[in-house]
Amino acid sequence: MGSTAFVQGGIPDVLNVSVSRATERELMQIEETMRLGLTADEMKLIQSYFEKIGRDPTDIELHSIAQAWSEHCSYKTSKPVLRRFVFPLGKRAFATGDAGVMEFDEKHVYSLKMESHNHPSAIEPYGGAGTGIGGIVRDILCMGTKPIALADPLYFGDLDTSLKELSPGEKHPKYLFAGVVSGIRDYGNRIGVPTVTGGVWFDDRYLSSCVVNAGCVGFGTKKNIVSNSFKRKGNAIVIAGGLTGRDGIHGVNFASQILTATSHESGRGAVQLGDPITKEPLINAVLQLTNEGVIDSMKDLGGGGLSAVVGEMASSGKFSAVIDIDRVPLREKGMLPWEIWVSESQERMLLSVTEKNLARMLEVFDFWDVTAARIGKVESGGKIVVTHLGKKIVELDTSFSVKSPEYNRPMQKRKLERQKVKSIDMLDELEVMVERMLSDTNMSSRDWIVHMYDYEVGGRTVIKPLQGIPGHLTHGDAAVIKPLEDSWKGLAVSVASQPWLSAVDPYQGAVLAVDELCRQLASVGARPDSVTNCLNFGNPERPQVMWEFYEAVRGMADAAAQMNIAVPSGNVSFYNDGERGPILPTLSLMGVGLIKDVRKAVTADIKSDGSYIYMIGKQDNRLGCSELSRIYRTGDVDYAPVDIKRLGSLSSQLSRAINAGIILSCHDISQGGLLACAAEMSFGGDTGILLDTTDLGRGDVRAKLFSEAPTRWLIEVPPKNSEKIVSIFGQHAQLLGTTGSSKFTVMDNGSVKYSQEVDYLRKLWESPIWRRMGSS
Amino acid sequence: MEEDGFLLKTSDIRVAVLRIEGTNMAEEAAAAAKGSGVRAEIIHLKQLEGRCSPAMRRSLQDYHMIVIPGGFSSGDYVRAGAMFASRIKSSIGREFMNFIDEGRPVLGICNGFQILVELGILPSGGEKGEMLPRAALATNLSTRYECRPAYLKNVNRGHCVFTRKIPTGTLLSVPTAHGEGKLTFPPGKSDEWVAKLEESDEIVFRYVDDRGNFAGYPWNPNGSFYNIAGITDDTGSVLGMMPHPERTYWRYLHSDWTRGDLSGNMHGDGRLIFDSAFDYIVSKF
Repeated sequence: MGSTAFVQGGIPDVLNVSVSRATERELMQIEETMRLGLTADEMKLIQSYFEKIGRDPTDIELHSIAQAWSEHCSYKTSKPVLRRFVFPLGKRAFATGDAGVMEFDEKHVYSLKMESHNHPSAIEPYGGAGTGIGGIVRDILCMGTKPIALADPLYFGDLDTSLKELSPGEKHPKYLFAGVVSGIRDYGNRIGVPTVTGGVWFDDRYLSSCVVNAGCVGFGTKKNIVSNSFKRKGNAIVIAGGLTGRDGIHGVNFASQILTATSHESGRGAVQLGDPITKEPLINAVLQLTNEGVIDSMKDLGGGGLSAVVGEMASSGKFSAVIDIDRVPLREKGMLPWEIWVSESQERMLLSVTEKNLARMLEVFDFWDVTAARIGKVESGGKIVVTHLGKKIVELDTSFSVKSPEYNRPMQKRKLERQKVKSIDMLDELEVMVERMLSDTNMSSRDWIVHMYDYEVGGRTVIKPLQGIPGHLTHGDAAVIKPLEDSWKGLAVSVASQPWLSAVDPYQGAVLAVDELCRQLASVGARPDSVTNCLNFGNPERPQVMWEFYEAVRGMADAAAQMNIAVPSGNVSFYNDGERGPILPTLSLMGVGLIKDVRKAVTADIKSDGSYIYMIGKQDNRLGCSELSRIYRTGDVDYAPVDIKRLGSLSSQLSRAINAGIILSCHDISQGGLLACAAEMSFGGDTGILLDTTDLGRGDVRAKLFSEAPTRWLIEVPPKNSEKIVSIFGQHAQLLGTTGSSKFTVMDNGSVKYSQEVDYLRKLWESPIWRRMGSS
Repeated sequence: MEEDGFLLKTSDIRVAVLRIEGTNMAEEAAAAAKGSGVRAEIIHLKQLEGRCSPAMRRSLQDYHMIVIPGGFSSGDYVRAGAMFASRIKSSIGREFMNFIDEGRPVLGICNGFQILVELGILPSGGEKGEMLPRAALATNLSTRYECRPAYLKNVNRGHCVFTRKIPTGTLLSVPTAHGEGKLTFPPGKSDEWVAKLEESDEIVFRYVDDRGNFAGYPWNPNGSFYNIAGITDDTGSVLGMMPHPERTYWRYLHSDWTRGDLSGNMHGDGRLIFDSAFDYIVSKF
């Protein structure tokens, strides 16, 4: 069989593919030759479709279906789970589509979306991360909203991994980390969208496959929100932005496979090339057209290229799209029609516009020096038609070609190993432990990254990612954006993830991530309003991975529903897997909170001497799944679960107290527990803290300090406001200490357990990433 | 520029915020100007060159002040600012120089400063340039992009119009965000240049630490010679600076505003630089 399956059918550059009467083996040979990424069953479905319509497909038709049916485009594995748990949580959205759109005030909306760019970043970290930003920004843009903030959760192998430990094809985490951060820096800074928050996690289980998620928040007006589907017969179809080349061909198939030792060579052509200086004018032009009401509907070209975007815009089934492939502006000569059709070249948008508005659209693109061309027309019916040299080379029913089969893949619950929990008595003395914890790369300062991102371009970042006295900046919980010049209302943005707990119990891990997100948003005085997500998992054909995915989605949805947080958008990335096995189950969340008056927001840095430090929440000295248990390997299974009801009441009380102006600073207790939280607050204010842990129950002072029990914050309060705090929080407010002096001191049961200069601790905390990564 | 014999009011001042592709900080610069009650318009260089519809055509003659804001004009893939500068030179170069000769203020922020250096307008040292660069804003000493809070000391003795409302010696909090901001003179000529600039009072801002002392990294984020953050020209009406005054135009944009009281005056430190120029325009035109 082989090449005999491909027949010249009379149209140059296009081959007919003989699928009728082909055996399964022959079908799979075709699949392999064309690198379609389809299963035998899927090939048979295609075969019977064409047998029914009585002809063989063209090569471009097969590619078209394969793109649409890839896991990346179709969500064929995740959709049944998402439909059950997550889609109902999008109801409160003002609009959904490429990004979720939520109400901000009577006239305005904000939008949010997060996406993964894991596979490309593992091959080419700089370009992969940059185009990740490019893609997410287009998602925001094509809702008719302006991108105003970026957030990037990143996950790599341990930076101290020795080269010997790497398998063939694996790249060193330092190389990937440096490349990804500089990719985000150069793309985000160049297009002028501030990167306001993020996170980075290091673990060996990301060695074979790093995770790079990019989130974006947009802002706009209700009346300018644009649909992602064709809405009107007779409209012109316009492609605008970058030229189409051979980069990124089969990117979606590549993203729907596991990485192997040879992917790094063979996958290179699947990595797209970004160009922020084509993007920046494209953003301006599209926003101008949005404001003028010229655009009827639009969608960005991402995975699957034109093939996917035309299919998705026509997926309602009411309209047909007729595309003249010869009109697509190309970057290189000699591209075959199917290559043009599936190319994932960056910085492109597809727009639908009425004949009346077409001239204005082309004029605006021309002013911004953005290439734009009319390539087709919207008609009635439910077909995708592509012509080449005046002849039809694609004619597919959207009811078939863009509706991939769905899968309910088998699941298997992971059995937890019985662990013997190591007693804390066996571990380091408190003094050694504090230093080891604060200088761990998962806990230490992220300023090496943050100062490379322009976090305030746009002049809207009121609360920045690093907070405190200049020269003594510390980590904050959430950034706050003031999107309107004439309103004090603000948006708080933060990210959260709990990969280690998720590895033990993916349901609880997801719930804890929602807890963390709400804590962080409440910490600045905001009310959590919506959350978007990136669900990064291994190969879903492993029943255990499928179970992890199912449980994580269920956990996120349960927690979000109970907190009344909308989930208007999301993203799934499977096949983050390799010879070492799957990555940690990685649910990245990006949440947005609303704050009525940004002037009421507080930051994490201690503001003055002589204040009181209260803990809000409930202490629980169990140490499972904490930084301490991870570093000292004391066992994971014994941890404090989240009480969502308590989260709901405490977070709303807290944000009310902050808005009432009775709290000076606030920081949520997360990685590293009470100790890390208090230390970071003290770093930012360059002021000592005296903590007394006597009242935190019986137990070792180390457990009290390093437990990561959920739903807790530390707040700084002027002594005169003490009564108010107690009356608001009751038993959930515990006075733990005071601020002042240059020392960080811990007392327990009447004696000083630890005392050290703040400056000394600060240096320990500040240097780990700098020391490993150097100055750039 | 005469307004029919009437004195110019602040609200009559027209500011052109000049951009090309990749200039991504025009909006906040325009918002800052508007915050002071002047009229600000973002215009693309094409509109001055006439490469646009007649309705969009603009002329520099219609403006009292130009702001060249920050960003990555044309991607800054060559030296930062080099492309924008060469496009100005080859199209509206003469008009631009006339604008300066008439004493109308030009503010170059970050990428705008880089452009003014590439145009040869800054540094001046008491002389008119030949539209050829005489210094460079080189890659930061750290080799990193540096987005961070910074403190500037106004060291100008009165020559620069952008510090009219700022007493000499005042400390301002104005943050930076750039990868190429190290003011560098030709090899062996640094001391000579600094002496010249000092003599003609063309140094405006120098990086200091939080106590007002001249200090090294990270207070001087780029390793700029003599801690220079901003300079003016022989006319005193041009200011090029790497830090971003529009980013502390309002108090709530300062990185540490939560440490103070926000109930009173909302004006941030950066606003003084804009207001000084507007004050000068009102007095002069």
